[in-house]
Amino acid sequence: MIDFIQIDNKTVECRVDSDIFNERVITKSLYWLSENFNLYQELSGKLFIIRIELKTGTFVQSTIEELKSHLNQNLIDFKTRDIINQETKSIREILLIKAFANNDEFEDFNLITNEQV
Amino acid sequence: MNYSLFPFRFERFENSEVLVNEVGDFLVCSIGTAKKIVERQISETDEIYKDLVSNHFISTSPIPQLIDNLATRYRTKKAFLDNFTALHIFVMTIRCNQNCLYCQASSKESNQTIYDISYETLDYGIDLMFESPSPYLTMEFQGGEPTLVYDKLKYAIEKSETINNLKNKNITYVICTNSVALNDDVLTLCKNYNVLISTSLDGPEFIHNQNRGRNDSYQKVLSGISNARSELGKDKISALMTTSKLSLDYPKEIVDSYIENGFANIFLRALNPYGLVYKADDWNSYYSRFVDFYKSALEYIIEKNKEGIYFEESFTTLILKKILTPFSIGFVDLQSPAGLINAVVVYNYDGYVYASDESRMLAEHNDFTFRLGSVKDKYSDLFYGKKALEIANTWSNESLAGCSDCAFQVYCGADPVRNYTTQNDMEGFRPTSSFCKKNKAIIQHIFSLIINRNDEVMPIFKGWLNQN
Repeated sequence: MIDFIQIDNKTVECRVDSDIFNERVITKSLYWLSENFNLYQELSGKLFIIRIELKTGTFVQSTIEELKSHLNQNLIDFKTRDIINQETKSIREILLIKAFANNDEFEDFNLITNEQV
Repeated sequence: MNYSLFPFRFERFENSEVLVNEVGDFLVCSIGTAKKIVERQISETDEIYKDLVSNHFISTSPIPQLIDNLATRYRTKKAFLDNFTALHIFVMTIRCNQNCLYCQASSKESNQTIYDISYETLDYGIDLMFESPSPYLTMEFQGGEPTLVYDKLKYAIEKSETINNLKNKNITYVICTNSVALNDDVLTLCKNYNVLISTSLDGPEFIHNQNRGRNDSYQKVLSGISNARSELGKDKISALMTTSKLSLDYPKEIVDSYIENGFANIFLRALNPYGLVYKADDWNSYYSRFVDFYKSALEYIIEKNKEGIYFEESFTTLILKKILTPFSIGFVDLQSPAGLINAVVVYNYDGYVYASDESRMLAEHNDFTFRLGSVKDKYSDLFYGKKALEIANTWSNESLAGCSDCAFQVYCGADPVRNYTTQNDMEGFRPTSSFCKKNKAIIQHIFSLIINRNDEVMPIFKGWLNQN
């Protein structure tokens, strides 16, 4: 669980270990917050320091809790998605190559495979 | 447990997690299932294991035996790309005989003939249309009100017929008309060349007339529809509605008016941010209310079907086809790569070719971003030129930020023109995109119905799919 430090009435900050969540995961997680927040992200050693600033209004405790829960859920889900994307990159490429291969070549490939079997 | 992953996406939704694979197969699971799959915590004895294997979410071998089967299904989902541009829109004039409050085409007074297409532009446009590799062509006449230029309509159809004696394409003609001036000449032309009529009916009289800015529009449209039905047959006339701000409060009345007027379907269509209505409204509020309107109308339509009245909501059917069948759809707004250029192109009255209907609407506001070139340019320069390539960078939702990880990606589409219009950027920004919010809310609602009210809605939904 990532904890927030309140900087002022419209800004909070959190630190995320880059060994646990890579930059891609963090960026995608923050992307969906950017409708309502200005977001600043910098790497300090192994920690990403993320500053989240409300575009309008000021924070109340419930907003901070909601934001914390949302960001934590995003980080977990986008990390899962990232693993799926990395693990399935090759099979997806094979799938698309086969899907869009020239029809004749595709059939030839099947014929050869059948003959070999 | 040792297994390999297939590419899939997931989304938390209500109290479940929806997993969707590359070809649109889905599984509804408990929250945390995707994480368990990735962490290899699913075992053969788990109830979900066989579902995951048989629906291509996981595989017992690194290169699954059924990958060819999955590849064929992927190709089928993208079959709309096979023949390239099939829909060729000719904007015959932007003159109109109505004063629609929301006019997206920025129509002009009906006596200003400088806004009519020229015979020269028609000739060049028709030649370009026949260069399309597609064996199926739809030649759609739009406006303004295209029946105001009957002579040019007749010329365009007859010229296409003559050329087609050599080309031998399968051509469908469509006139998009408000039906106010559907005279004998137009109907005879339609009868002779099997022309379909797509008309506009916004609902009951008080809504339709208010939207059209005329007191007699509703009666004239009904009269036009009636004449067209008796001359051409009921199946040759379809109607579209546009949901104005006024319409948002009357979902049941609008559905009733379609049923009363003999239609078996309705397409609940939101306003688009083009034309006269552009910049005149708070779009976020409008789209949020539109989603509520859509849900109410769909609920009412489901009730009507349960009463034994066959009546379909066409946008829902399109989404259902994407969710529940292996097939692709021809609706250009829900395609990736996007429908513009790939499926549709516009030959405008101004002598230029545009990437889509919405693109030419932008041009009325002196924004020519999606102008591909002149009708006099070469086919290859227009359809495979620099502008087309520039647009192509942003026309696949598979590669757009916010879309690439979305579980509903395969059911949705990409729309660079709308992104550009509403966000000044062809790529768009999903967290504030009305296109994203609206489509996601509707897709989620349809999923919610399938999941929570399966026995009640599926017989109705399957009936709609069987008709299409």
